[in-house]
Amino acid sequence: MMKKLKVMALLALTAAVLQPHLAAADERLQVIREKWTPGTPMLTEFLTLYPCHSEELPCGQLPPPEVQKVSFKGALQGDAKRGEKIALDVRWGNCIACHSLPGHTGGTVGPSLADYASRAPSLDYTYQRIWDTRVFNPDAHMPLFGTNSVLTEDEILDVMVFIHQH
Amino acid sequence: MSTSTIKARIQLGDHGVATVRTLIAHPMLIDRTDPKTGARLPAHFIEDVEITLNGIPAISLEWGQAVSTNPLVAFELHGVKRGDVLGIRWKDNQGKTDAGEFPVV
Amino acid sequence: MQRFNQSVINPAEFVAALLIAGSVTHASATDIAETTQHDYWPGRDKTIPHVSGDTNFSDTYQDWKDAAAIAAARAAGKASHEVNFKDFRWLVKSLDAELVIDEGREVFHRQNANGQSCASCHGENGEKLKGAYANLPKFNERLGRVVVGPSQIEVCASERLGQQDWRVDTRANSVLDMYVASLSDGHVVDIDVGTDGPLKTAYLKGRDLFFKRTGQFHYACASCHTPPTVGNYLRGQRPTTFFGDASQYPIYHFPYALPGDDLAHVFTLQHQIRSCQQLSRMHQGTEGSPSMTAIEVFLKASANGYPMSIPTQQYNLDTDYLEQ
Repeated sequence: MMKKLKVMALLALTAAVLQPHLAAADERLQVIREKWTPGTPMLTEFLTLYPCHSEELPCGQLPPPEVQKVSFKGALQGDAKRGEKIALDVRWGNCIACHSLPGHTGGTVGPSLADYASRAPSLDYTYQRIWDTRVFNPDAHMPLFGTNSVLTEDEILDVMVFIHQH
Repeated sequence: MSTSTIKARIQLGDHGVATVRTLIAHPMLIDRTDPKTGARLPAHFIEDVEITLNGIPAISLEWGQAVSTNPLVAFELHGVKRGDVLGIRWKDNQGKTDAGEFPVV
Repeated sequence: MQRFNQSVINPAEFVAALLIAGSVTHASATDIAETTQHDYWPGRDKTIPHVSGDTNFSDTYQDWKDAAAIAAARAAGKASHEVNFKDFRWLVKSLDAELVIDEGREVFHRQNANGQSCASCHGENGEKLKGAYANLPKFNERLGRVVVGPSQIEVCASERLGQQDWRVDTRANSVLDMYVASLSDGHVVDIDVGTDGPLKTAYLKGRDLFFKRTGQFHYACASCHTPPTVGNYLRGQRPTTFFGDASQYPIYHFPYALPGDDLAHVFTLQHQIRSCQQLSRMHQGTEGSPSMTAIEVFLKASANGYPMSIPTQQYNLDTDYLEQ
């Protein structure tokens, strides 16, 4: 058991050094999704895995997450209905907080996505926007859905299918 | 000046119209069952509220179990001038009662 | 992307991995001195420890800076959202909160086994505490740290009255905090963060924390509470800037309460910060901790020059505009 953990830690550290960002985000996503069900309040134990305000806890010294550049591979496939659910749920994607969406009026902090399909941006662009919007705007208000392990791969695909609807 | 259960704020506006907000501290409980023992806990709520202006009845309220705890009532009263006295009295279904007099300043 | 089969991951090792990963690709520090680089929301340099600092963030200050300005704005037909929502809170007092203040008054005069109560030192009906809340938070010489209202109450009650159950985040502490704050209604907030010292240090730390991006969403408090988010819809609400509002805390926040709380719906300023942290998926600070106290110092100093308003109405229930 200890040996397994040591191997784990070594693998984690190695991966962290060689491919720091993506490996870390992926591990953290697994850890969170094991215990947290989307649609329920985020569990407090996972919030110390991110930078925080505290002076006493280690999370207070965590550096900001590195900007992650990603590209979209393959065809766009997903469940639009589930994507809609993710986008509307305040304890999941909560896209509606800032954006209007196809069929739904939402917040005005971000641009309206109701007619997103008619603008037909590339899948690379959309994917990057959702994954880590800081590539386009370092001071953006948009959560880092990919870099910060908010949404899984297929959840992002579902949302992309949903907003690409006419 | 408030009594132990009645608070009132009176704001005299133009043309003798006073905006009154009154808060009555009362549990206002519905008839219900104790979840642990199954015993019946009887309702305890205000049934009647009488509001008077200089002793003359102005508003009369009949309440039931639907009114919630610490009811807050706000209303406009016409024909009010400085020095008038607003009287508020309540009586509940267990016979308890309280009353207060609030001068319009 | 690699996927690990084993599901047991030690959070401490994970954080260690993140720290190492971060330091390998560390960028240079910013002008505002920090030992570890943090991402900040822009705007720290535009803050000043006075309510008039709002002019650097919104164009509404002249419409709510005092009672006359609010009256003029109303006469001109401006709605609450056009004056940064800083009109009705100073116009309307909460009537329901009076019951909580009554409860606080009762606790204030409650005697322990030796016949001592808060009133024994602070006077009947808090005579000697009038106006004190307008100068909180302050540096407590004896304790050697900056304290906020609830922390001071906790220390005083446990040390001098032997009341061990009046810690922060308890009902007694919250209603006492509300009662003591109500004794400062109308007093102008005055926190000295200009003179070098612990309060100024706390202010600068709090300012940095307010603008620091944290949590799962990578938000700072300032992300929502400065333009351009101020003035836009976030879910169904529109946020306001952080100037002035601290003078209305603790606030009677019926019907809201965090799950499990029995605090008579009293929201101290740090309780409010915790609530915001929870909504934004940030780690919730502990009430009374140095970091939370620093943020409170920053917010209270951003209300310098503005009168306290306790108890104030939380939401604008004036529906006259619907009838126009």
